[in-house]
Amino acid sequence: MPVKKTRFIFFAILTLIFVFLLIFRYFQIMIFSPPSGSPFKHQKPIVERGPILDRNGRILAIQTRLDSVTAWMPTVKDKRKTAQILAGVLNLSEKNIFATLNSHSGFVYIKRKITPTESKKITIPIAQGMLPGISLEPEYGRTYPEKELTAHITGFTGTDNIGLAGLELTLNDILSPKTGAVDGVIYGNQVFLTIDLAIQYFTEELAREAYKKYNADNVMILVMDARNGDLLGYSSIPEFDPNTFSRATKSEKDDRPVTYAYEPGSVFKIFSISSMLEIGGITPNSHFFTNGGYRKVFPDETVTIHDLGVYGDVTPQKIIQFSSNVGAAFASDTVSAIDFYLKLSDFGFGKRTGLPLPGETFGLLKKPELWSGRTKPTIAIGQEISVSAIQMITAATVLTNRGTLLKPHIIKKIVSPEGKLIKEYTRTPVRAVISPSVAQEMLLYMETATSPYGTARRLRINGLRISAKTGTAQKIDPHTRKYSKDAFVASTMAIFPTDNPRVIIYTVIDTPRGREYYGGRIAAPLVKELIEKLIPVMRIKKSTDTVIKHSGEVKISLPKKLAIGTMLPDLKGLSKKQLLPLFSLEGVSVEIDGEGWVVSQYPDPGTKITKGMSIKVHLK
Amino acid sequence: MMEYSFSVEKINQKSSDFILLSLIILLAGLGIATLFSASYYYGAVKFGNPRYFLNRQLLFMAAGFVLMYLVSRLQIEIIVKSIPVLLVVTLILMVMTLLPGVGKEVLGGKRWIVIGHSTFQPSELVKLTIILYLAHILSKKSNQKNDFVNGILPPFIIVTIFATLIYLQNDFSTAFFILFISLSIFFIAGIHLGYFAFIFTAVTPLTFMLLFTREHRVRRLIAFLNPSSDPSRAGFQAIAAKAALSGGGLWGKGLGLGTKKLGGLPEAHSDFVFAVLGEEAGFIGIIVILTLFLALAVRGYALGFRYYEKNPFAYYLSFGLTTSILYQALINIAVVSGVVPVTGIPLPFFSSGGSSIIVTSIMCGILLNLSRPSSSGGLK
Repeated sequence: MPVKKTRFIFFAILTLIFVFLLIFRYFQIMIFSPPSGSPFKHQKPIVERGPILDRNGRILAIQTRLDSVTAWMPTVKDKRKTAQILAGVLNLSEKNIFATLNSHSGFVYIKRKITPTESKKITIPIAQGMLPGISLEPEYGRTYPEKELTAHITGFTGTDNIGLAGLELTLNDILSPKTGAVDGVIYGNQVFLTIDLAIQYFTEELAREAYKKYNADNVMILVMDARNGDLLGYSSIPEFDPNTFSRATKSEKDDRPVTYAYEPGSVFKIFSISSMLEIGGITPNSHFFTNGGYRKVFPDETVTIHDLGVYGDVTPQKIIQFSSNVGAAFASDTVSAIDFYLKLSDFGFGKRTGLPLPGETFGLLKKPELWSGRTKPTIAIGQEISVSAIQMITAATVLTNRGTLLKPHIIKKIVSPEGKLIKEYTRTPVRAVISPSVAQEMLLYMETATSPYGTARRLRINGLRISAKTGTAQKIDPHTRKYSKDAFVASTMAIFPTDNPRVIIYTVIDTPRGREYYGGRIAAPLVKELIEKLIPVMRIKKSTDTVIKHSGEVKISLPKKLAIGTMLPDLKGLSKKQLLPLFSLEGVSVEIDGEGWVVSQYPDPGTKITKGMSIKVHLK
Repeated sequence: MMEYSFSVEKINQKSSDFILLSLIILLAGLGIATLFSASYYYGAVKFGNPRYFLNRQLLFMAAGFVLMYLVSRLQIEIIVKSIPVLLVVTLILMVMTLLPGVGKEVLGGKRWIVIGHSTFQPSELVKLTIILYLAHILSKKSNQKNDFVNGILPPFIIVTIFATLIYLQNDFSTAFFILFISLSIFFIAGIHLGYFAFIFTAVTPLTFMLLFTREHRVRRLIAFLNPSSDPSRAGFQAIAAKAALSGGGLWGKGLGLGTKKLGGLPEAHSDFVFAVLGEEAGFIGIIVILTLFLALAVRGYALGFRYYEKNPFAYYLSFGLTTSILYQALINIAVVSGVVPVTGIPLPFFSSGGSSIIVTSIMCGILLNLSRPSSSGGLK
């Protein structure tokens, strides 16, 4: 055979081998591999975001799973019939569904997020094969059953359930972890807050009332457990409903207790005077003559500070009781700027508290090298320093913990989906700031502020020792860049009971508009109202409580058991539950109406029980 | 006429081979139908006209058939005489694609030149030109075929130049295909096997070097070896094509009823049109199309054997053209099934693309020309 022919045969054989290989391959793919089903397979595991709960397990944020009805047009057979079946179940017009089906050639949503009842109804025709191409796709959402109540704490999630604000943002990876799928589902951890929903209702209600009443820019009320730094109540008005967060304004969404920095005013004196006592510039016996005010001349400026009243010769205790600006200013002359600065920064001012809420402000405590002559006396009265509400209430833990600053908590614990405790947040001391005796001294000073002559007298409650300090700070006018004459921040800090502090309350009313704007006049009564509500909830004892003597034994008589013989007994006075044995009578019909206890019966007692008889009982 | 074992001789008419023509028309018709089914969704989405690709394809097909008829009627000597001109024109067109302003880039490949409103892919033309050239030069130098320097090296250099130009257009697979076709013609022409050993030792390392110098090629190769390693990109077509095929089963979902072309399978109208066919016509449909291509090849090779001794040019030419059509089909079919890595080789008669249709039509025209008994007369 000529060489060329052999070569062609060789080439042809190779080609044929190639062809058979291909045929085999196609046979393998097309006949032996299972056809793939829906083109929309869930590549990613489903994440069920963990819930956020209050300290007692009440739900604040929870995952919802609702089905959406989808159509994959290439497999939809009879559009008319499909529309007809779907219309019956989904409460949509058949015409609209038919139009939707006709206007798409690929994938289309018929109705998104249907109710569970609708889901149940629609699975029947799908299972029977009556709706080819129609399927249910799970869609996940987040619901906040308490609506506005804890909106600023929980924050909210956006599409695909990703946290966008609040704890939903900062704890996103804890609430919906990236790994750890069980059968294609990742279950998120549960987050328990320190917030007590009962207390949260009070703070929110009062804050909202004050917000309306004083037509304020915003109102904040914080309640903290004085012993461990747990935030029990955390309200800030204006507020928003996280279920419909997209409709909320920026101002409503602002989580002010951590993000808003303002000048605290006289409440700050509890920290400035404590600092001076601790540094040693002043002692409880120091005294300053305040009549005529405080005046200091510097080369480039003159500082003058006045009091509202005439307080004469004041001790540190009187500075707190009467809120003497002049006294505080004179007292500040006894300490150096650097010592004063360091002590205030030990209290946590100019620093973040580290609360796991997004956007926390540092506040503003200027470095001493930037201080002018007026800075020190001005800071002593709570101006020329910016703080956040959370910094203020956290700093107060120094006074209630024998001079030691605590870390504030808003998360109590994190629990795995199986219920295993992952992390628990307990009392976390940060640093010793002042000596126990100074802390104790300050609480007593603050108690005198609630005496009949103190500035916080409006929150006096008989039988309860309360330490408090009020404040009315001047706000800077954004136009003149000087202290405004009509914009104030009214605030009150209250700690009680004084002898064994359990609760710290801090209230801020920003820019109240009306005749009243002093902290002592508007913020203090608010605090009083709150304390009165907290007393029963937190089981705080008042000295005026009457003690009831009781043996401790309570006798409860067992309910009379209904014995039925051959005669119908007297049923009068029996509860509905006690009537149950009647139903065990064979061949007798029993009819009960009304609620409460039996008042009449038919037939009368003593009637023989016969088969087929009917007994009527009326309860009232 | 010589007597051969093939039955071609019995249909001895003045006109072209009827069976060959029937196969061509049958394949073209099925190709058009499949393309319409595969492209109407993409056409509707991208151009707002479901018939966009169909209309274009019909237009090119009509032009192709006119050319096919003309070529089949030409005196074969005219074709032979025009080979040098064709060679030069092809070379110029190839260089033009590399020039900025003339060349057009599509999906990262610079393979097109703009002519008026449409584009032309000269590398398609290279397939035709190189086959004509090699058939001519190897038949002319048949007495020198074991003289390496004068007989083999010059055509090999020409082939290398074209392959390099195509490679520079970022089209590795077509360059490789040109090399493959050329070597198969060298092989059939009876070149000494020792030279093949030489060519392979020279070409293989170069091939690997060129293959791995472009990121997309490496990615395609990795995706070929393990499609799920990069499911969203290079491996996507392979996975989607497989899903389409396995959805087809034995009988298919029915013509026009496939679902993968609705966005699930990229390039469903061009390089992956066979996957759509598999989904809609099933394994049976695949076998039918393969059989038609094989029948076309058998017919093409058979008519070549008519000239086996008397006219090596016609023999080499018909072999080269038939091999070109058959192997483009086989490689494309292999790509769709995932046997070889994803390449840009179209399926003749099926894939959308004007250049491919025109060149395939001309190739068929030459085959039909050679099948006419009268056409060989002048070359005897």
